[in-house]
Amino acid sequence: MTDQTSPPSSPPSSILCSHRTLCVARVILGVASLALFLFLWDALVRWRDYPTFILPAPAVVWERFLRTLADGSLLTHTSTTLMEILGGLLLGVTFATLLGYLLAKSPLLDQLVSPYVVALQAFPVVALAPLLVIWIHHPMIRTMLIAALVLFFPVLVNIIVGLRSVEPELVAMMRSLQANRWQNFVKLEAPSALPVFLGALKIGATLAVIGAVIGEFVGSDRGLGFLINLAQGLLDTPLLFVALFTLVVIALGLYGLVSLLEYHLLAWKRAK
Amino acid sequence: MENSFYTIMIRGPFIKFLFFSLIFPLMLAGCGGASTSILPTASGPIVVRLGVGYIPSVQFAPLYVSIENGYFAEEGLDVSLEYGFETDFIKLVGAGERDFAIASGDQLILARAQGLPVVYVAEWYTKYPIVVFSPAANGIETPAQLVGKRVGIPGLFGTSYVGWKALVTATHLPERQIALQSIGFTQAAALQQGLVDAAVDYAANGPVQFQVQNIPTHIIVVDDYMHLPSNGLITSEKVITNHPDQITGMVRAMLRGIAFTITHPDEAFELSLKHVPEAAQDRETNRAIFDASLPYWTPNTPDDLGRTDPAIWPTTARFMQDAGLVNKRVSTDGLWTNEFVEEANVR
Repeated sequence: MTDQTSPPSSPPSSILCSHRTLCVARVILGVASLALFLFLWDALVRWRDYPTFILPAPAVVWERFLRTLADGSLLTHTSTTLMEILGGLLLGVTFATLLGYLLAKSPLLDQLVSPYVVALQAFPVVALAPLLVIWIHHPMIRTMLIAALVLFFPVLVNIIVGLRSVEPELVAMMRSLQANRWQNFVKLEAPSALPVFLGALKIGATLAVIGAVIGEFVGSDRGLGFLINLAQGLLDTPLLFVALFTLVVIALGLYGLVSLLEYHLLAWKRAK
Repeated sequence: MENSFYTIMIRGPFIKFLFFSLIFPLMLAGCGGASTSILPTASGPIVVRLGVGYIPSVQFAPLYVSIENGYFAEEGLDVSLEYGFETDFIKLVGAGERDFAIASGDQLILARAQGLPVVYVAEWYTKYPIVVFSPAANGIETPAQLVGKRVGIPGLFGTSYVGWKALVTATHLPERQIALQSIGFTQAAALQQGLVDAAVDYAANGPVQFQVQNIPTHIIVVDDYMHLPSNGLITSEKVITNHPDQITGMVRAMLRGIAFTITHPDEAFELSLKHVPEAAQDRETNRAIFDASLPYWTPNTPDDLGRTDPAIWPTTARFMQDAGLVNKRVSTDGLWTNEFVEEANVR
């Protein structure tokens, strides 16, 4: 298998660094860019003298963060959202992988099912979410399903592309070696599709965050989506920012975890 | 196809989410300063965009009447309605980006708690429009009968939640013995599916849906137990200082629209259909919505038209603090005024 057979994924070195000096430089750069962002944000608030309800200063958001952390509500809402994200991710990626494999292998099934899959993608989940409140009574399961729906299609497409990108020469070689279906999958298809699968997982991880928030926007009384709703209802802009930044941290964390996984699972590619 | 973090974030719905939740407030911030609502043209009327917190609906009939009958025009105002979220419009008015909006009094107390310089200048709804409704078969006729039952509510925030808290506070209901469930805006469907035993909703929404389906309904009106300041015209302290005449004009035109709607409901309904053509396709339902709204717009006496009761503001602020809806005592001084209603002098 060559680099041409597997679709490119983001280089693992973009998240992880192999050289110590490079690592330190990246950390310093990261901290500096964050400090610059906070400085510019604070300067903007001071320059325009914005009231807190329009744009709170970083210190005000930090103070609100500490208060929300101290009363335990941030932890409660974050853990709920995290569970829903992970549940949705598991559900969506599992089904997308299974269906993706079947569609990649069977052109007939692809022709039959794909229009429905595309139609499902065309459905705005935001419009569907209130109906799901009626159909699925358990808020957490409902939110997981919404998260799974949001990430399903992009992950499915990536899985299909990954499986179809196996080099025909390698397929012919496996056939000449009389490999059975399982051997084909384990020795050829799975390794070939792995980079794209991991790329799909990255997409799924970030989309699951959106899905969970959509799910919590309708008919939920906990989670960061609910906290955003609550903050909007109370006109509490600092609380809104606390919830948003927590979501950003979750998205970055999940992305980082998948990158770490990618780094280890694709070590063989770097060794080549 | 590079799945970098950047491309995922930019291409995905995350960017839309960020836009509405984070970038929109920043844009709002960036626009601060110049008012865009009151725009005097060279020789024509003053353009006013009036923010209302809902979709086009016959529930805004008095405003449509004021537009169609030329009441706003007579005051030198070219008013158009802007539909959206109530809390967004309160922020826009507070930031000086809009000069007028329709908002509920309790939401103004929340806004004042956050330091927004907004002022309630004319009452429209004379009764708080939140109710708890249920199919008659469920046997819930009084607040006490809600104990041990499942009650659906859109969410633990907003006007519905304030109404719910007002009801349980006024009637001393044991909240822990009531299963309050967040069900989004699916009240009527959730009741019909038996997911909840009763639901909190606007009087002109869920109960009307039941009415047109001929489902016998029991309705508990929150206003019967606690009187709260409801929907009215709001503006900012800045507009009060700089454009008091325009406020008087807005108030007079709006109150004339309300008065006309109350005395000529059939004509008012027909005028509304010009602004909500979709409603004409289901006249029965929309007429029922209109009729259910009328009692909430009707003052006790013609002299009360537009006047807010001074006594309800401090009591509402106290109730909201006691109920945990705000975390501090909010002073209602300067939060409301009847000055412009007196000046408008509409009977």
